[in-house]
Amino acid sequence: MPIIQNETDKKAVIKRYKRRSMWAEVWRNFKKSKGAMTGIIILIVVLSACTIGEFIYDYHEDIVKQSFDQRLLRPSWKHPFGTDQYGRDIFARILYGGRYSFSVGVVAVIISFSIGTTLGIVAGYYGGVIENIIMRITDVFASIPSVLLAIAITAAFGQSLLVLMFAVGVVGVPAFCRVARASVMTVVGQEYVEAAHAAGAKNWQVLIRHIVPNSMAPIIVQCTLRVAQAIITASGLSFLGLGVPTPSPEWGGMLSDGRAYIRDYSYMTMFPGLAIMITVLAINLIGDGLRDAMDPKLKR
Amino acid sequence: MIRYTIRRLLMLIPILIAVSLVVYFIVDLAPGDVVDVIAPDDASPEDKELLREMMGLNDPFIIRYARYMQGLMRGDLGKSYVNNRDVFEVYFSRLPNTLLLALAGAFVAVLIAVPLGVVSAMHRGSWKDAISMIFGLLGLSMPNFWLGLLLIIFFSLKLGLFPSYGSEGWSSIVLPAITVGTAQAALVMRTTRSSMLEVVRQDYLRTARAKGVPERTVIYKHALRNALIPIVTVMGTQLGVSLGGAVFTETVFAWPGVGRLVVDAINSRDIPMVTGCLILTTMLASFLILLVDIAYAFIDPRIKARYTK
Repeated sequence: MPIIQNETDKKAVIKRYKRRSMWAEVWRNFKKSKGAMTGIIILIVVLSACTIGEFIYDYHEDIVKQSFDQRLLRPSWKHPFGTDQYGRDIFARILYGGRYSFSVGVVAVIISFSIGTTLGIVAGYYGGVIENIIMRITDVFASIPSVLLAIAITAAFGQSLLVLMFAVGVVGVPAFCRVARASVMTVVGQEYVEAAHAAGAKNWQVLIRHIVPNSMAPIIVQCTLRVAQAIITASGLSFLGLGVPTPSPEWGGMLSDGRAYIRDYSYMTMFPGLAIMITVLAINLIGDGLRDAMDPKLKR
Repeated sequence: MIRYTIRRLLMLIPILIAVSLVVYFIVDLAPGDVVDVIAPDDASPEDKELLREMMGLNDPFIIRYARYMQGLMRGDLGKSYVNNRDVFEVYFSRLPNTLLLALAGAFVAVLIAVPLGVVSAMHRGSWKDAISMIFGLLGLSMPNFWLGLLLIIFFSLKLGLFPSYGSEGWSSIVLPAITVGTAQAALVMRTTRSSMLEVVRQDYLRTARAKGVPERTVIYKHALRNALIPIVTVMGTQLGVSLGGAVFTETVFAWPGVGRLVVDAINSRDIPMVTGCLILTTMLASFLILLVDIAYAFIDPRIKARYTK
């Protein structure tokens, strides 16, 4: 008796063995991870809250305007997170401040990604002298403790959002370069690469068509985890007074404001820190989920 | 083994020279003229120009850098613009505090993370595992300056158990050490867990159990010892990281270490101090990482065999 007896069976078999693209496979694994889905939901909630804040609050009226009759009010219905030493609503400032953390996180990672990955791919693919030069330069930058390097850069170029993005971005370059190089090196030795060369493909064709797509997985994971790291570093620099200049409501800067009032108004330090932690936690959850989804072998 | 150590030390030299160039270059870009800061208010522009000339500030970058490197070789990193104290001396007078904090933090990290990681790996998939993993994620996601502030709120302001700042007496190191330790603990715990999971599949554990070795001994002697290498790697690199990361903890707790020194120097535009601190800290962190690499050989004879070949 044949195994496939009727149309329904046939469809089921086709469905089961239909070729799935790598991304469909990743998404399927990703969906199964409870942690990753929690992360996505938290991130969506935080992002939409910040976007709504964008529309209901006016920068000059609600975010930076000082009203001294409202100063240092404890959390209430009117001010869910209380008000700060200048009478500004902390809830509004946190929602508005999300833009700094998210933009620094994303832009910094784009900077580290584009410089680091390019260098890493070139190093891993061409090898030899080029690789040596690139990796030694990477060693130099990697050996300076990252926080200190970022501090030096912000000190050199002055305080602004752009400098902050650049500083946090530069600090992340060595990590991307190393991950990309390692990943490319595992792919370069594969038979399909050799086959492509044998078929007469040019170097750049092999790089773009075969090597880059096949070595992307660890780099993408690195991207997510790095965004989380970048948000922490950026808020840390603002906490030290080297990041986004006041009166802009950056989460780290707000923490630093709260520090002076920690004895009697501890809510001022609670909420901005909570905002950083929840955001970073969500991104870390997504990163972990992605890593497991992309490489089931790594799953522990 | 000795040859390997010497080779690694020699390889470090060009990297550290390049680091000094990069750091000197970046800090040199900082705006502001030191002469305006240190000259008396009634100094004329001519006087200021003369001072600039005397301090060699008008020389080209390369000359100034060469002069700086000459000094560095002799252990002379110049004097602070702010209080005219020797940078080298000030740095090394502050360093013990930072090292103490880094070690105390590492101690806290190991104390929390290793048992947690082992339990998590041994009871994989259970509620114990889930709790440890959540702890790990929270530790990784929490900015440690915020954790420091929270600890101050609860343990020193509400409960009055520990001082919230300063470095007098043993009790003042407790909160800073927990702050430094928690972030590391998260990383170490995750590493311990995955490393243990790798080891528990090995045959020699089954053999040990079959021989009737008590479960405790199997886990802590046979398994953990073999899972130690990645854990030591993470601890070592974290020790290097905590030298730089100390900036935050030391700011929160007003701990008089080198992190605080860097922040103060940046805020007062004290160029020689900033440059000196950055170069010395990088050197120290590099040496620490080298030490960890060498330490492997003592834990794992297989690695020693590879080096001595």
